[in-house]
Amino acid sequence: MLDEAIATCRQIADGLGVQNQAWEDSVVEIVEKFDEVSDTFFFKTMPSIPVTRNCNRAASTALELKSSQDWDSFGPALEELIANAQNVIDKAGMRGTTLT
Amino acid sequence: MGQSKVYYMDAHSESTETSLVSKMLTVFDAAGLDELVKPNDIVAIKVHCGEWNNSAYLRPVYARALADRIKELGGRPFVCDTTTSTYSPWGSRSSELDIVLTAERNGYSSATLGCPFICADGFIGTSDYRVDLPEGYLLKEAYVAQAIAAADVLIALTHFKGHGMGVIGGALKNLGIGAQSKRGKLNVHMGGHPNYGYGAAAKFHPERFKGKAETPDWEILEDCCPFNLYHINENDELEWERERCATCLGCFGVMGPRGLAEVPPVNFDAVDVAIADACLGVEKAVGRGKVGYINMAIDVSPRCDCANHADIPIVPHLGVFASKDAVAIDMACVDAARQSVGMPGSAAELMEAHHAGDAKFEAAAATFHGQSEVASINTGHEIGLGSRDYDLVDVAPADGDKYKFPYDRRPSRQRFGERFEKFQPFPYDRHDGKGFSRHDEVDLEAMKKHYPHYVNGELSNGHVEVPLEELVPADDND
Repeated sequence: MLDEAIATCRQIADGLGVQNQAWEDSVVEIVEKFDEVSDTFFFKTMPSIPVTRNCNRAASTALELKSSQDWDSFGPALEELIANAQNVIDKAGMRGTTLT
Repeated sequence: MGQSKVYYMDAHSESTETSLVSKMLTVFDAAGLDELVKPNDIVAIKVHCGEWNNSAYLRPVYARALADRIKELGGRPFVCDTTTSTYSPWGSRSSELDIVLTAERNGYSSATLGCPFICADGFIGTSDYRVDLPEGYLLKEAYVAQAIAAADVLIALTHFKGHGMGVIGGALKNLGIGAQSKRGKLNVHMGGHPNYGYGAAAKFHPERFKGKAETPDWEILEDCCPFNLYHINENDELEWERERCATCLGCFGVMGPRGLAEVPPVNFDAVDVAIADACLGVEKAVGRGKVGYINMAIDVSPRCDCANHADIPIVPHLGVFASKDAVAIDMACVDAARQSVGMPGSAAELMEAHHAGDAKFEAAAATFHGQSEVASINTGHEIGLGSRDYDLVDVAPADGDKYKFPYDRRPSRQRFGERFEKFQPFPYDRHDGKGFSRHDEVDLEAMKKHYPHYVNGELSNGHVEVPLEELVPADDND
């Protein structure tokens, strides 16, 4: 599921700098961070599903808005994606996660 | 094996006889568990006393009420739990000293229970009784906590909930893990097993260790293992004597988040099967037909009471169940959870498994995709421990008089009349007999309205408007 988020974010980032370089930089940073944590054990567990799924949905929304060039809505959607991505990265450290 | 009976009362409560404490005692008798207890029988009540800072474990009043009932029957009860595996470097129940302190903090003591609270497997957890299990699906022996094996009768008083490893934490797990000694737990957790043990099946990634200099808390990598199997050698490399791994689980939470090791799902699947074998071991140790089960399916948290926290219950209270069959009673509880809608805001909803019919424990409690909430149940059925086929018997509330305050059953005038004359709590001699200084009349309605108020600096109504007519009782025509 994280691979899906990474792929969607790559599509979002592709050429986004033409519209706004800061936006592209943010999405590229998300991809890099996701690549760093993608081997983490957390993503093999069920507790990873809700946060990763939320992130996927936020990424899909942002991609749709990019595709339709609805830039007024894209900014807030990107904020939502960044917040969800940060949550995924925080959870990947599994601080406070008890398996048994 | 034929159908077993599971006696059930729902979780609604509107009177003393329908209190959950009363219902627990009512189903205890209805299921015939009272008939297991003979005068002078030593009766073990196996509970989960809860990890430090867990808050979903059963309130001690249930064990107290059950112990009182057993004393009424002439039995000699004790309430017990066992030392845990060292599954966390900072666990609070890994020795008798620790578990007694944790139990007391959680409210389990001789003072509250009216009988002793015992750590059933001794100071370290090696006080046990070995049982052969030729009929076991996976295990061929079990190590049962000595105090439980020595009892004449065992009542498993179980908080039914989820579990990250067992998927469900029910009657089977209360005995299949909870009534095993520490040695027995290592057996059930597959310590040393050539295929399913953590040592055999885990993926170890020492190449990801970046050296002591870049790992400020490197000492925990060695200290998480009480068997001293992790070492950082003179070349600054992480080593693991995996062939000696006892599968105590202590390194799970240390190595996993750092990417140094991966827990093998097959280990969890094997444990879920072994739980039923080990439960059978307990029944054999105490005596088949001498074990009764009560499942309190309330506060159904997704993780076990062995977690140092308790999340929002994944379903509303399901009810109170009793049976002589560990398999049937857990099956009944799983079915009830599956039929129920999930709790808003709970892990069931987060996992989008909150609909009636969803396998909520597999979604919200299991650690890995593919774990089954019925693996222990199916194993128990297979080996003849019990039956997943059951008759669910609705039990009517008993006479409320039975559950009234027992120490003085006289009504108030008989109990307090003379004392109130001597120590009058109402000052009849003051304020013209009205007793106290107060306004004669105030605007009560003004205090009942919902007023706009500021929340984080913003004006809010603070509530959702509900049409008042919907809230008016049908016969309130005044």
